[in-house]
Amino acid sequence: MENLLEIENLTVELMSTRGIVYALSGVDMAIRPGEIHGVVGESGCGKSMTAKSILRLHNPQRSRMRGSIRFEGRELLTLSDREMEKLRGSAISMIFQDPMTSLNPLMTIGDQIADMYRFHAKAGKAEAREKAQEMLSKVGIEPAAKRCRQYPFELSGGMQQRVMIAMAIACAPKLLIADEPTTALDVTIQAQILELLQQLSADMGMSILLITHNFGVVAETCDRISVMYAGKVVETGETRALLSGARHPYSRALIRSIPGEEGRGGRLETIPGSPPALFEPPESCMFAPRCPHAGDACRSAYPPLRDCGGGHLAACFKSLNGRADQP
Amino acid sequence: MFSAFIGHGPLYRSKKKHYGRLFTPAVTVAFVVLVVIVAACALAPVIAPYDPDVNDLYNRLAPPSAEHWFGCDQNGRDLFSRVLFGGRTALLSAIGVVAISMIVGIPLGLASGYYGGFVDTAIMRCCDVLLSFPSLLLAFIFVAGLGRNTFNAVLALGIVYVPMLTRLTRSLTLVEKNKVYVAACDSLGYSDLRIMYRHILPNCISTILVQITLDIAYAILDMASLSFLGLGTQPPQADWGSMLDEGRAVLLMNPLLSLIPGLVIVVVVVALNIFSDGLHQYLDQSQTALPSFRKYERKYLKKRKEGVPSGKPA
Amino acid sequence: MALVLVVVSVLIFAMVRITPSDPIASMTGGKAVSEETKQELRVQFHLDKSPVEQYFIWISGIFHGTLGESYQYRQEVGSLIQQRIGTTLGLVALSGVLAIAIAIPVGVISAVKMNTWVDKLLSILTLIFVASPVFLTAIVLMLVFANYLQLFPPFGTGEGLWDSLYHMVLPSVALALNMVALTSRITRTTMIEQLNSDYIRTATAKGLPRRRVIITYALKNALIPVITVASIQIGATLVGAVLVESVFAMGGLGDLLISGIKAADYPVVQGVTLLMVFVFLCINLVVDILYAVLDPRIRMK
Repeated sequence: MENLLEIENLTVELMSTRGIVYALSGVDMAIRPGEIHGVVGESGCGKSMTAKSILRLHNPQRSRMRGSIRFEGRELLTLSDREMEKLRGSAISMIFQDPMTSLNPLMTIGDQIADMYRFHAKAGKAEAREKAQEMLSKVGIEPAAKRCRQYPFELSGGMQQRVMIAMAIACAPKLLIADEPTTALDVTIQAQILELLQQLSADMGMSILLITHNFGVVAETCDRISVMYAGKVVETGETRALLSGARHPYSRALIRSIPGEEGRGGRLETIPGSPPALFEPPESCMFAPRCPHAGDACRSAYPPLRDCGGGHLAACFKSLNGRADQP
Repeated sequence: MFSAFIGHGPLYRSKKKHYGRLFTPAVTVAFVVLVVIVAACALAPVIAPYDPDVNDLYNRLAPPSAEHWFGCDQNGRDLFSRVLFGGRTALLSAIGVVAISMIVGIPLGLASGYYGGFVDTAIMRCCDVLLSFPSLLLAFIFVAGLGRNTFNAVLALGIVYVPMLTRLTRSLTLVEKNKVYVAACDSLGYSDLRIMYRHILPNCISTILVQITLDIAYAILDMASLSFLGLGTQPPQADWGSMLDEGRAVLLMNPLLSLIPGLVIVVVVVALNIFSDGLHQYLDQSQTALPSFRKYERKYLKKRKEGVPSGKPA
Repeated sequence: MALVLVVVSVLIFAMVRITPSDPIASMTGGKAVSEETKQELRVQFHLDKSPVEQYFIWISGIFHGTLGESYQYRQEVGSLIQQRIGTTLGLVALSGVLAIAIAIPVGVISAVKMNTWVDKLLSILTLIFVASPVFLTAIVLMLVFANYLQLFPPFGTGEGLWDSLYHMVLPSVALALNMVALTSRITRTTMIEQLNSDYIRTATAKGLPRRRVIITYALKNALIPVITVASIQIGATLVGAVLVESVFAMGGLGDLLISGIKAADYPVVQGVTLLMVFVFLCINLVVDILYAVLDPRIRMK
């Protein structure tokens, strides 16, 4: 199947007050048309960084990107700023973690949706306003005509995230990047938002890149999963295959730390140690210091992503077999 | 270990790491300029070649020369000496202004923020009233009532500066007050005064310090304005502001008489601003200009070659 | 606002009279006069009454359209002000418009081009104008443009509208430069803050053109702190105008105020300061309305 988006060996370096941070060091990822692709990992592992890189949202003065991001065969990293502007919002759009701060506080939500539609669809004011209303009712905000005239601060967090989604899908993008869309919301609202995303993906044939640190969310929503650790994708595969037979020790540890039915009453599993600081480019497996299976090979070279059959990829020399709930 | 016996510093100090350095090239230059000017003014009686107040009718409006570096004014007084002595007046008054505003403003701000309620309302209303006067106007009225001289001008400006400092201290105190260490102090039964001065104030002081360096700069400007209008330092005493005013009478014949004191004011105030900015950037990293990748890598590679450990995290 | 004005008027009245200096000297111009004449003057100017009574005479006068009589000019303060207010308010308005028109673009440009040479150059320029006292800027402008280049008149107010404006160019530029410096700096700081905020990231991710993101999204949000500072600055130009009028010998309110202070002419000092505070409060009122226009959160309250 032709991939919608292909990320190959993407590195992102950021300038910080403490020197260069190697935020991403060779990310590989592929997203198929129409699928919901989950990205999981601890905070700071580069999930959001990957998402922002696709739309080139980094401050160009403070960051450097290398590698390749191809969207429908077009290389995004070398596009001109003008072409990138055209692509953002129309072909690829994005929603963010905190809807409260992600909406312009001084503009009505209707205007914010209409504003974007006008630029991409070259539509008139009235048409854009109608579109905004249509989008709002599509994401379940009723009565849309009245809500259009409201400001972000008049809405609840869940409603604001729905507005963000309405805005993101207004131009019928092929890919929606959702960067921790439910983290800032109540649990009950979380489920509603995820359901909405699933439904929209199915209705519009839109791919979704769903970024979260919550394995539970991914398990319920996604078709495929990529697990990230310290600026790299360490494992990719079908959700079911990965959940039941993770190959990488880090993925296994993550899966075991999901609080679930069987674990009730017992101790919650944790991963010893903490993720490495990223001030040096990696020379060996970054998980090795925390890994119970690590050997000499793991400490001297970086394991490449290898196919373990059926499109299941893992970056581990030890590439484990067997059930995921066993160490 | 002995802190229990000899008393100890604040229970908590916000741990902000300072990665940058305070003395960047610009700040260093500003600092040196300030030190030189302050030293020159402090040592004016030693350095100044002439008595700043003695008239010399033969040298009226003399142009700059080897004897009189900046020339002489319409009374034949040596301008260089007058600039030095004028600096004493200007700088001391500015420091006086800021000292008054600190002595009054910081305690009021602490009390207002810490106690809240009626105390807060009362203090803030007073500040509001004082702030309803546009800038120097309040100082004008004070001087009108008290009489025109350097001391009264300093007093007046000091009072004018109080509300801003009070508000700043209050807002900082409000933030600190809600931190856990204050509750901890409270639970240890410390007195309010002790909590305010020994524990809250040290955590606010860096921001206040930045403001104070800026305030000194503004005080120099405002004192000069008052003296220029004849409401501050009175002739014949030398002062940068009043010298500018005196020079105005002979502006077309010898513009230097006005321009040199003016230039000195500009230099000092620019230097203070740069210093204050530097301090601010040093204490608050969010605004620091980051080096470009190229610059950083050049420096980094150089360090590596020299065998300096690259700072690899453990 | 009315309450503030009352408090302010008491404050002004009390402060002006803090020291019991006898204003008789300023009425007689320093000439020796008999004790009887002095007594007559005291009665005429209500100086024989208690301070509280004097205050109420002054304040009730305001409602009858009189601010009392000047000691030195022997003229109604209101009419003295009337002759001069045009110059001062014109100066303030002109420099305010000029300053905002320059400061906001300058601040936006240096924020967008943060840390480039454009930003650095603008920073240095604004720093110099922050540091230059307004009367020094005025003197330098006068030397350069009036005396050496002879493009503008060095002093006076001029006759008629165009001539008056012509005379106001240099003074208002001098006033504006100072204001530009501070206002553009605050514009830069808040713009940088806004440009790093989440909703700007959203706007960029929406694919809006950069120019629109900067102007309609970031600048609109940055405007509130900018307006706050600008309004304080316009208040400061009221006082700055006093200094500039003095340099350009324009004979506005500033001139009246300073001569009033020097001559212990209480009614003049009280009248002019109260008027200036009133103007400043009006500016603040306009600013409050602007806040509400700009920010729906304030409007809803």
